[in-house]
Amino acid sequence: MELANFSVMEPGFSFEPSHDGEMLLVRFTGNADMNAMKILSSCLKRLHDEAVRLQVREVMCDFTGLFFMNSSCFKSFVAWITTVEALEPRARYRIRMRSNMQLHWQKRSLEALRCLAEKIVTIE
Amino acid sequence: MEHGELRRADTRRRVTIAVLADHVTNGYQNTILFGASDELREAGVTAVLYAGGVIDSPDPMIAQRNAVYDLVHPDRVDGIIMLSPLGNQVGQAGLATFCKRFAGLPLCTLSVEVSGASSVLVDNDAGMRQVLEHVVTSHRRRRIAFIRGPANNVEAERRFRAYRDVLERHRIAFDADLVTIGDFNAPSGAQAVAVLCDERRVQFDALVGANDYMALGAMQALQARGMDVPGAIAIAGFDDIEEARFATPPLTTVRQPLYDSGRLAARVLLARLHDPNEPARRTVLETQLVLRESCGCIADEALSQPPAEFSRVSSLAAFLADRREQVIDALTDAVPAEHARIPCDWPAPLFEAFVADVRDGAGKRFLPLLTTTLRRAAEAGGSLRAWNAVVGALHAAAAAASGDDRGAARAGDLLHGARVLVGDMRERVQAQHGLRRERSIRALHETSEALMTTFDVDALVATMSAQLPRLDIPACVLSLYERADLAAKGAARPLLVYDDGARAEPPAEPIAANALAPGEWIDARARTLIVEPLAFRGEQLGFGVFEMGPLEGAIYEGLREILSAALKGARLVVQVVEEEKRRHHAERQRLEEEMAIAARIQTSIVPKSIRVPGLEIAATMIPATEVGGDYYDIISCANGCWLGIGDVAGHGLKTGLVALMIQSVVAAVVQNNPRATPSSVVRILNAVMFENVRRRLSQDEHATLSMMRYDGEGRFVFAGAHEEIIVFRAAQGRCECIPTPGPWVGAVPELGATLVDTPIALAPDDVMVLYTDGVTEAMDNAGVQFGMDRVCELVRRAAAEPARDICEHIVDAVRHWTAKQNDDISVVVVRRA
Repeated sequence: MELANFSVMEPGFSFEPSHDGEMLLVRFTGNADMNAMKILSSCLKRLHDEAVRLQVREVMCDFTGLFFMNSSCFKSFVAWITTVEALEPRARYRIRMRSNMQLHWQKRSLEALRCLAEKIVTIE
Repeated sequence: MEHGELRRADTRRRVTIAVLADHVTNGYQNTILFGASDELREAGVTAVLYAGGVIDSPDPMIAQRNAVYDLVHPDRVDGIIMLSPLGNQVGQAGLATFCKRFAGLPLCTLSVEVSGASSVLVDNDAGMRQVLEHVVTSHRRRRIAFIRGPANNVEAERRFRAYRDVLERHRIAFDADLVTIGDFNAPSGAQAVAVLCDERRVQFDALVGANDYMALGAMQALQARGMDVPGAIAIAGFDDIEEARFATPPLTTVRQPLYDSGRLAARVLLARLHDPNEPARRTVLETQLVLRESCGCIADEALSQPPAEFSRVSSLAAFLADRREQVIDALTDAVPAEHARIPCDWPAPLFEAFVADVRDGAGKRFLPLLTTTLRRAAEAGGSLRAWNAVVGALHAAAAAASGDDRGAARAGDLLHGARVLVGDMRERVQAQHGLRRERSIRALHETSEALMTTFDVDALVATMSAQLPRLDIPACVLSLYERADLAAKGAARPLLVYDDGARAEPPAEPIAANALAPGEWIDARARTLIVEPLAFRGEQLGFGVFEMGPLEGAIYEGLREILSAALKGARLVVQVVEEEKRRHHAERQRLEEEMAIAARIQTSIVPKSIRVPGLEIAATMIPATEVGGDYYDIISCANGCWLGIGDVAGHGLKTGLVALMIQSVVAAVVQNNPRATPSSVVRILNAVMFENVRRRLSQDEHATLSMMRYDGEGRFVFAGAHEEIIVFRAAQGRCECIPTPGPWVGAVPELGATLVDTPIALAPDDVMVLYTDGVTEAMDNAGVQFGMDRVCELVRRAAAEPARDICEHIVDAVRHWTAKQNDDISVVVVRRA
């Protein structure tokens, strides 16, 4: 599946994946609120499938342009992280989160996500 | 009562006469109805036919139509004409009981007598004797089978008595095996043949039916068995319905003056209306034997009988003029009134015109007048077949004279022209009738198809409006009963009010059902209306009032059935939708009640009165929906207390239940071991949550949670990731935001080393605020969050106030900030005393 096929550009939220060698880069922008919940869950599932298919070593999540995420959307990330953790070690990839600590929700919540799977998740 | 266009003196509304018949689909009833309605229309009176079936019929489909008689009411009708077949089931006594409901209204019955009412009867006895005598004496039949009419019908009984009398008179032994009972309908005639031939295996050489329908049914059944009619079995009937003429062979019968009796009944009733002192009249009309081929006779029309005597004359015209009255009578007799359907003054002008053309040879009067007369008869719905007999009568009159060759030649030309004219016009009218009938049937079929897929009353009404012109029905009112239990005795709501090609707005208020139509609709003009009951499997739905357009009663009966089914269907759809709404509402109510219970549990379980030595504590929780996912608790213990604050991801009942689970586990753990470390409490909770929520319930809820133990003297220790803890430092006069590191609970089976215990110390007058993100992430209309800074500023400004007030300030500010609360709000304020 082409990465561009599951790029999402909705009013208020966008999800733009791209592939660079051994890394998948995903840019999140806008607000991940109740309206984005279903789309986000679906996108993260497809992202994981692509990461496994392409056998990347890392997935970089760029949150610098994501101004808000609610707790229901966090569930999708929790699900994704636990899925990655459940992979065979050689299939497992790392998740890097590029953050904007000026945004309160990132300061509060990205660390908690990292603590769920320290060996996989890093915050930058 | 005033003559002319008859109107009631009291209300000025048009006089209306009810005509009660069992149905309008056969020749017997229809001919009487045409006579009555023609007479009433000419008097400027409206006739309303209530076709409600035989009273108390054992057939439920017919019995449910009886409800239409409940619509007959003195407020609507001024008199009643009633046909005897109504009483075929209940008999004369039952009919008399039935008529009691019309006490006070003038009543005229046909073919049956009811005490106090006028009646128009026929001499059944004389008529049946005549035909039976003919069968016995002219055709020498001795084994005469007889099909009786319904046991409760007075006329049927008279005809059967006449049968027995004739047998006795001719010393023919009565054989009960030759007698069967029918119901006046054709199938019972066929059934009689089956009984006679198959069950009883009797031999007979003649069969007489108490009416034409049964005789015709029997004749067809015999012919189907290969029996020669009239060679082996002579057949005769009674009534002389239209079908008797067209049967093969044409049926010998006794002509009842059905049309005239209808006219007479109407005249008698109107006379009583005009003069209430006019006594009830009993009139007996004579019958006439009609000999046709089914008994073995040759039809009169087929015979060219030579005149009894010739007269030698010099002028045929003068000869005819001398016999004026005689010839006019012959012309009148040639076309029975029910076939003419025009006023009975037509013979004289026609005769005069014929004589004039014979006299002067111009040929300009008779044929044009005959054309006009035939057209009038056709437009009035008369049958043109009988007009050949007019030509025959004139021919017979002219053939009785000889000597005036020129006159005879002129007469011959005129009569030839007349025969051609009658033939052509008959053919044309028949073709027109056929086309009209086809169109009506097609329109009825289309109406049926259109209504079959209509489950909405508005669409049904629209469909009917569109179809009425195609059905040639000029006016119609369709109404539904307001209450099924009252039906015709209560109110009705008109759905469709249609007249002269246009729909009118139905009245906003219901009408009395027996009014039949709103306002002046009935009285608009003198016309014939038919009321059909709308019912489905015994449930009375309403009624339809139709102005008679097509003369085929089957059209109205067909509409009755189609509309009844469509209305019932629409009602069922409404009922299903209503039931679904009710069910949905009940389900919703049940859920709301459960949610209310859950909310009560959740808000009841949070501590209300919190006393901890050395601390002033206030707390509040406001769920966004009925049940929220926020958690807080304050649990006293020796030398201190435990505080917890958290937020289950999501909203609604599921998150509330998880919050309750957290409360239970935490309370159990800390009460069992008040000195436990906060991190150990969080780990235990995480293990329980992961097992219960993730594994057992296969749900994906997780929670933010900070657990805090207070050890007195302002010393706290906490663990678990939640919102930053706000501490107002009284000495510095500013707020400090303390992060709460670590993972969320319930997401993974084990929490790693990132979960640590962190101390906090409060100095006297320091204020600590715990909260959920429903406070900081509340958005205003522009999408701006309330934010940490605003919370800190509020706390700083209110720091000297009681903890309860600080709590309220925060909640009030958030509520003021956001138009709609989208997330749960929880606030715990702790001041060290």
